[in-house]
Amino acid sequence: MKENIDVNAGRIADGQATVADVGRESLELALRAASGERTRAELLGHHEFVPWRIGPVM
Amino acid sequence: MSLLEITALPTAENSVIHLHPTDNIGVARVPLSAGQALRVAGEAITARTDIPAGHKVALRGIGAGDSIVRYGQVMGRASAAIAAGEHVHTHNVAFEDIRFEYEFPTGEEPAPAPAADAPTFLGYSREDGRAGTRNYIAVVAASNCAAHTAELIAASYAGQTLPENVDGVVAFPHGDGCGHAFGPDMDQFRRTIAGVLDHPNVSSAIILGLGCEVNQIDYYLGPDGPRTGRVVGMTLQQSGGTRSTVEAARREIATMIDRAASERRVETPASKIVLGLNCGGSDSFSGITANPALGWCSDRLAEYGAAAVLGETPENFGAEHLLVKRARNRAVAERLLQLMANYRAYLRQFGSTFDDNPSPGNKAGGLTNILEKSLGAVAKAGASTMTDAIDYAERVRTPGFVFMNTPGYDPVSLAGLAAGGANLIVFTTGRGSAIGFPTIPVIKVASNSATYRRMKENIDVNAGRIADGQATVADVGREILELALRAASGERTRAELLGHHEFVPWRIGPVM
Repeated sequence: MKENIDVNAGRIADGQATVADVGRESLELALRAASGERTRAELLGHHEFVPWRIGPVM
Repeated sequence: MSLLEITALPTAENSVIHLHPTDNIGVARVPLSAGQALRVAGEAITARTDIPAGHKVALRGIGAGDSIVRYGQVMGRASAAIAAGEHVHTHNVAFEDIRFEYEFPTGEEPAPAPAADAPTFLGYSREDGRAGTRNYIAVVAASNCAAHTAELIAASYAGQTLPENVDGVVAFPHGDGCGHAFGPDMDQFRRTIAGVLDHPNVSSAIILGLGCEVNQIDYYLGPDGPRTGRVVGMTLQQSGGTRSTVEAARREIATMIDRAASERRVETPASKIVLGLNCGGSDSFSGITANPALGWCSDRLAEYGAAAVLGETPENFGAEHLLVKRARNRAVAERLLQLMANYRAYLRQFGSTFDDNPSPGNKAGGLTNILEKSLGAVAKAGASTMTDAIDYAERVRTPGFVFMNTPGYDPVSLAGLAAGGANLIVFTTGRGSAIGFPTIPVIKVASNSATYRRMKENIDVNAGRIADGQATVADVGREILELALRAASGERTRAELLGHHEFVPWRIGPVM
């Protein structure tokens, strides 16, 4: 699901990166996204919004 | 703005509607001014205050604790002494949880022989014996996690010309499908999704999941699934994400469009109509104009052997004794009362009661409490025998007037009626409504002319002409019936022309 996903933390399990490596990658992307870089979800137009109804439907 | 803009000059005699000889209130047909002289049922009274159109005026002195009677039925008790000519509303009417004495049917009311002169419409004939009034390809989200992708799939056909008898590729996005509790909540949710997937207005459908949700798509596939051979399943996790899934779905839909294009409308007896009845944004005129006119239409359909399905359980509360009397047999009456008791228990879990129902808009429109709202709401079902009482989204299996347990919340009620097999919906409104459904024509009927004029682009029929003195209940009932048959044959309703496609299933359990 590459087209939906920004970071692959599976590289840790694959032995190709440490938790800190992927943590740093996520942090850097977070800062770039905060500055305006679009995430995959944004590029695909995802806009899910579901409030939590805790009462009954009348 | 006044509710009614009447061109004919109101007089002392025609400014108040007296609905039933035993009523001790009248309904202002036009706005009344303090000091205005009125003559109702031969009695002269004077309006004590300004009273908005649709609101109630006391026709005689009502002592504190005495019954307020509308439609010949008790709708509450005076919480203070009310003088003749006074405004009767939430400030001086107490809600009372009335205990009714039920008159249960003692025998079995036989189904009437279908009328020989029943009309026909042009519908799509389905393998299971039901008839479609539309021919859609539906893309139904199994959960909210697939909702956006379902919308993208449908949107990818915007602007594309489809074969003449393919009404479109429509999405069913929604907020549910995961975080459900197993048990009654999941069972009901699955029934709802299965009901829209195998709906007679749907030629073929895709059930689209993310892949890991509680509502697994396998349930809808395989030999026991609804409409085997006409439902295809796919998930984002298997198909490779949002864009890849849109492409995969379009490949499946190409075949579905070919199949739908080969299907033709054929002359179909009116008995194949399953009419969903709903009201929303009700006002005091709903029970005088639009609902009785729809009731006239429901009764004719019952005579033709068609079904008319009344939902909105909370809006039957206070009128259930009238429905019990009309049940085909005692078992049907008991089932109705059981469904209402279950709903009451459902509300009690959350500390709510049925009287939480009238919305601020209902009250502004002159409806004081749920009893008054219900007495007007049940008029949609006319006077025919109640042949069955079924739970939310259960398949309608009997002709005539059928009760279905649904909430009053419009989109949720419509989803239940649709899943039960309604292939046409008539929706009455006092305050105004814009609602539609992805695969079913929804005909809108306004209860008053001011709302009709204000929201003409959304409303198909103006029942306000009854209150204006320009048409009878039967006139408007016939107009609704004729439009219903034309809409069943393919004529687009206002909601369809505007693309309305609201779909909200009823989640009765918690969000996990």
